[in-house]
Amino acid sequence: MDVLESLPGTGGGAEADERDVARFKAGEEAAFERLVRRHEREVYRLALRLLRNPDDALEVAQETFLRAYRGLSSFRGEAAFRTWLYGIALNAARTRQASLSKSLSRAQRLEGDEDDPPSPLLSVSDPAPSPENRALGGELKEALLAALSRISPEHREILLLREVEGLDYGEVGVLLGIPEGTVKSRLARARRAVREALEGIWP
Amino acid sequence: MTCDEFLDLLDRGEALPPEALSHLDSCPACARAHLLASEAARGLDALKEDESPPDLHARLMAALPAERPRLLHRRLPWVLPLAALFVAALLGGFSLLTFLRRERPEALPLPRPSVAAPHPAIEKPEDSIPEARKQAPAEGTLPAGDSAEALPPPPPRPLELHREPPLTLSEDLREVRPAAPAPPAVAAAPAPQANTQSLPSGRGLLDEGEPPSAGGTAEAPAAQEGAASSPVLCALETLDRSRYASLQLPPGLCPPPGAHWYVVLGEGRVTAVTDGQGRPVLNAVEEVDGAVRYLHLPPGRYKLRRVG
Repeated sequence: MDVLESLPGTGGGAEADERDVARFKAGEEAAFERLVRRHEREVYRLALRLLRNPDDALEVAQETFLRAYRGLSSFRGEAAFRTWLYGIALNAARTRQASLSKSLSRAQRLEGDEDDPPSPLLSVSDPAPSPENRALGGELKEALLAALSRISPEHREILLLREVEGLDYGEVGVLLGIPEGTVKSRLARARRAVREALEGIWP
Repeated sequence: MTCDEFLDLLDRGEALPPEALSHLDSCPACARAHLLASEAARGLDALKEDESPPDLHARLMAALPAERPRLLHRRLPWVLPLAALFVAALLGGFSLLTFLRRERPEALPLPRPSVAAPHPAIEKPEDSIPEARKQAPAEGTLPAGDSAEALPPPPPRPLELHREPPLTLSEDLREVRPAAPAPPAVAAAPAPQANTQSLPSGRGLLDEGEPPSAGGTAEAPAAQEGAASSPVLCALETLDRSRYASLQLPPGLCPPPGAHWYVVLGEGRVTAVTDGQGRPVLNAVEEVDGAVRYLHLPPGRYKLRRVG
């Protein structure tokens, strides 16, 4: 049963989460491992899409589950466990991004004149699709990632939560702390932004 | 339909009505926007692909153990007992080391200081001993029938400084129980399984062959009593006799009957041992310190005298 529940797309995830949260609170440590197994890939994926670096994504995923472990006893179940977990992951990713940005701007200052082109190492957040990727058929994905890196963080977040992670408007609203109507309008602006960003990248 | 209306519909992500589709046929700019929106949706779908490393779960769980003592115990059931064993071994080693440090490498071991049990020989004047003390079992002593050879010696234990009124001791008690070694008195006692007999024999304070004390130095009584004498009952008390501790010490660590010594305690250790006239007692400081340091007495001047 647990194996089936841990597989993506097998359904019943929310109920299984509830059950495991209750078991964990009752002292069954193994229940937390099941929660990790059930959500680890989506948390990692969200972090990877937001940060675009596997090492940073792994650190954020670790931080997310560590915080979840510490805070689960006080989780009251007002939102679904998955929503709560995404909230933790989002905060951890934002913190990580802020830290990276700070390091980046410090490094850029150390690089010298602001008119100089940025170092290739510092421009990883906005890559153009490489010829190899195009040849391998991953060009659309690369182009989209490049477009996502050119839009605002709030547009990027809402697009990933809704279109990639598949959260409904209500969940996204809870996560971002905005009403459902605002979710819809922000999502529309985000779609427009990414479409316009693709304009210069995609033929 | 205008271009703005079409683009609004497009960005809302909803299904396009027929009039929007007909607008596409007449507007290349909106057709291009429509194409890009479709490609963006396809690209976002491609981002659902799982790119997690194969060891993701292991690495996530590895980040947790420090936070999960119970899980650690579940997975590694031998860890906690092993840790407990290690701590026990450390403590045991420390205790043994502490004990051995108090022992002299040669000759017979020093008797451990202990709270004096009521010796059969001194139980006679019962009226002078408080009831509680009469009934309390002696610490650091063996039950009748046990012997020091049969059982390992108990570890040295801190002795408690009695806070009850001082015993009315000395003269009466000394008369009842002859001073150690006093073999005839002990041998004649009807119940010879006394506490002092279960303890290892004491050794003299002075090594054999040590030159006699000179001039203004008092000589420890071991010189006269012999190195292998039995322990004797002594009392260490404050000068106002409001607090005292009773000890079993080798004769060399106790003044002769009728006399007393002064023991000066500094911070945590004995700094001087003098006789009644204030003359330092030869070689007594270290030995007395080893015997009384576990009492954790406050610094000050104390009187040490023989009771039994």
